[in-house]
Amino acid sequence: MVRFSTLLLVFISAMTMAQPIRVGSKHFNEGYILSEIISQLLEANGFIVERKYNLGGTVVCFEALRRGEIDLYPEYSGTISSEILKDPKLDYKEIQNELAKKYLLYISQPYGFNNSYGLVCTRENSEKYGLHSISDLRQQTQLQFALSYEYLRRVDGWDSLKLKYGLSHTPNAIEHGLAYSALQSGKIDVTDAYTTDGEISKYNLVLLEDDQKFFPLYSAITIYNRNLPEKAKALIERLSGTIGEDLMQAMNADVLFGGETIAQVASRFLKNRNLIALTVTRTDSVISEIANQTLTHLELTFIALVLAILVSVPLAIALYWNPSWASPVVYFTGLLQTIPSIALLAIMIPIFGIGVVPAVIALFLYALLPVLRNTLMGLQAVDPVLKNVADGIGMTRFQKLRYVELPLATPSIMAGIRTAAVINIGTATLAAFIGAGGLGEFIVSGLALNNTSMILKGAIPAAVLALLIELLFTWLERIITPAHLRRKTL
Amino acid sequence: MNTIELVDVSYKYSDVAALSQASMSFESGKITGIIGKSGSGKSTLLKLVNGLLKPSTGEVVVFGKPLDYQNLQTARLQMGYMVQGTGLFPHLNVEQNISIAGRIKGLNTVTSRVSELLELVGLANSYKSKYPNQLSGGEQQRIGLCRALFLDPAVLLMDEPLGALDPVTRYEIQQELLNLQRLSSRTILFVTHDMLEARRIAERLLVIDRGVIQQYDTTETVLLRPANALVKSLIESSTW
Repeated sequence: MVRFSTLLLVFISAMTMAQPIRVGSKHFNEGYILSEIISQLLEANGFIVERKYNLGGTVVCFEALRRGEIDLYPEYSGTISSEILKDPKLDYKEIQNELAKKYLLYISQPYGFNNSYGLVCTRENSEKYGLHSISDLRQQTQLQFALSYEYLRRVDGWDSLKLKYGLSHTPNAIEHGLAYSALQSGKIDVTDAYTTDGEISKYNLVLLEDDQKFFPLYSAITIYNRNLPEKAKALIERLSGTIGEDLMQAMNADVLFGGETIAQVASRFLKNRNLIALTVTRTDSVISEIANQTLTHLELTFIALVLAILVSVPLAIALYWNPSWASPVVYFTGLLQTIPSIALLAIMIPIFGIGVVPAVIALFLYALLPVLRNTLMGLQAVDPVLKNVADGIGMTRFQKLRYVELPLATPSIMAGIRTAAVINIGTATLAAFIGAGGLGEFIVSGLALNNTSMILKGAIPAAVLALLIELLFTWLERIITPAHLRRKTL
Repeated sequence: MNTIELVDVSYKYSDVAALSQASMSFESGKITGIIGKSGSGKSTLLKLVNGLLKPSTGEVVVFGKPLDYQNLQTARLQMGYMVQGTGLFPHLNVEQNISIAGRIKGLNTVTSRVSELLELVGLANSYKSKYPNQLSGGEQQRIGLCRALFLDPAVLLMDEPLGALDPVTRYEIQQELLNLQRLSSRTILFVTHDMLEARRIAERLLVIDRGVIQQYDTTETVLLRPANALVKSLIESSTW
C-alpha cells in the first residue's frame, strides 16, 4: 500500500512536470516583457511553457487564472487591491492573505518597481500652463483629456481622481497605445500613463506629481494559482527585487523604440542577472509566424462556420415548415449580431473561460444570422407553382425539400455562407483578446506596442484572407449552383 | 367502378364557396373536359382530386378509397399531374424531370422509360441532357406530359396544360394526347377554358359555374342539349 502511494506520488509529480506552465499576460508592453522573462526563466530550467499573451485586461487575466486556464501572470498590487479585492487601502501582506482566503491564489514578492497610474502632458504645455502636479490641472479647464478605457472604468480611476482633486474636465476615451501620438500631435493635452512607460522619456513628457497621494502603490508581482509547481515558484521568487523603475522604463523603451523584440530584451535581462546561461533566440521566422497564425485564424473561422451551417440550415428548414416561429427566431439571431464583438467575447469569459472555445462560440453566433436568414429566404422564394407540382407529383415533405426546394435555394444559401465567412475572418482578429490566437495576435500586440509594422503583419494577411475567401466562394457557388441558374447569377 | 368520385364535396376559400356540394363520378378511361369561366372552380376541382386542397366538407374517393390526407403519396403517384406554364423543375435536365416520379418511388430502370416517352411525344433522345430553359414552349409542354406519364398512371390531371401555346403547337399536342389515349385509355381530367379544345379532345364535358356543377354528359349531348341557359351561353360565347 505504501509502495503504491509512493508510486502514485512519483507518477503525479512526473505528470505535473510534463504539464506545460501557462503564462498569461495583459496586452501591453510591460506585461509582455515580464511574462517573457518568466517564460524564458522557466524554460531554461526544464519547464514547458505555453504563452498566453494578449489577454484583454485585468478581468480577463484574473478570470483565466481563477479558472485554471493560465497558471500565472504579472500583476500590480494596487490593481489587485482596488479592482479585485475592492479595497485600495490594503497593504502587501493583507492582499496576500485575502487572495489566498477568497480565491486560493498567491502572489510573489515584488519585482522591485512601482508602476502606478499617473497623468502626463507635453513639456510644452507644462511650461505654458505651469503644470507640475495634478492639482495644477484644476484651473486649466480648457485642457482636453483622453483616458484609456480601462482607466475610465477602474474603481481607482477617473471618477475617484476627479473627486479627490476637484477636476471638472470631461475626458474622451482612447486606446492607450494611441494616446502618446495623439498627445504629440496636440490632439489631446492630458492622458493617463503608467509611470514606467517608455514613452515618458522618449517623448520628453512631464509626469504630473500626485501631490495629494491619490494613486495606490502599484508594485509589480506575479500572481499564480495552486497548480504552479514548487520548483517554478522558487524560480519566480528569484526575480524579486531585480527590476527597478529605471530598468523597467529602459526595457520598455528598448522594445518600443529600440527595435528589439520582447524575447531579446527578456533574455538579455536574464543573462545579465545570471539567471540563465544562454540567451534564448526564438527561431521562428516572420513567414512561419504569420503562416502559423493564419492557420489558427482559418481554423477558428472554419470551425465556427461549419458549426453555424450545421445549426442554421436545419433550423431554417424547421422555421420554413413552422412559419409562425420564423420572425422571433430571426429577430433573436439578429439581436446577437448587434452585440459588439469585444462585449460578446467578454460575456463568454465567465461561462467558457478563455482560448479557442469561447472564440469559436462567439464567431459561431455571428455566423448564425447570415446563414439562417439566407437559407430561409431562399426556401421561401422558390416558385409556388413548382412547390405545387412537387406535391402533385407525390413528393413527401422531405423529398420536396431534397429534390426541389434546397437545390433552388442553393444560390441564396451559398451567399449567406459567404457573408458569414467574410464577417468571421474580420471578427476573428479580436479573438486574440481572449487568448485564442490568430492574426489578431499581431494586431493586438501591435496596438499595445504602437508598432505599425506588427499591426500590418496581422492586418494584411487578414485582408488577403478575406479576399481569398470571397474568391473561393464565388468559385464554389459557380460549381454548386444548378446549371440553369448559373447564367443568371454572376 | 369509377376511378374518381366526389361525394358531396364543398370547398371554401375564407368564406367564398369555390365548390358547392359537388357529387359525381367521372367515367373511367375517358377524357373529361372541365369547362367554365375563369374563377368558376375548375382548378379547385382538380386540386381536390389529388389532395392539393382538402374539402371543407364531403369526401373525395379515388381508386375506390377515400383520400387519406395523412398519406397522399400513394394516391398521387397513380395520378399524373400537369399544370399551365411548364411546371418543369428548372434545375433538373429533361431526363431528371421526366423520371422524377420514378426517383421518389425508388425505381432503378429509368433511362429506357425516358427514351420511350420521348419517342412517344416525338422528341429525339438528345433532349435528355437539355435544361428546361433551352426548350421551346411546345417542347416544355411535351416534356411535362412525359413526366406526368412516367409511372404509366391510370389517371391524368391536366390543369390548362396547353394554355400558353401557339395554335399550331397546341393542335399538335392535342393530337398526340388523342393518340396516346388510343394506345391505352386513361381517365383524364382536362381543365380548359377553350371550348374548341374541349370539343376536339374531350369525350365527356363537365360544365361548372361559380362552384356549382351545371352539367356532366357526353360532349355531343352537352353541345346539342345544354342543361340550362348558363351552359348554353357558355357554349355559344366561346364557340367561334
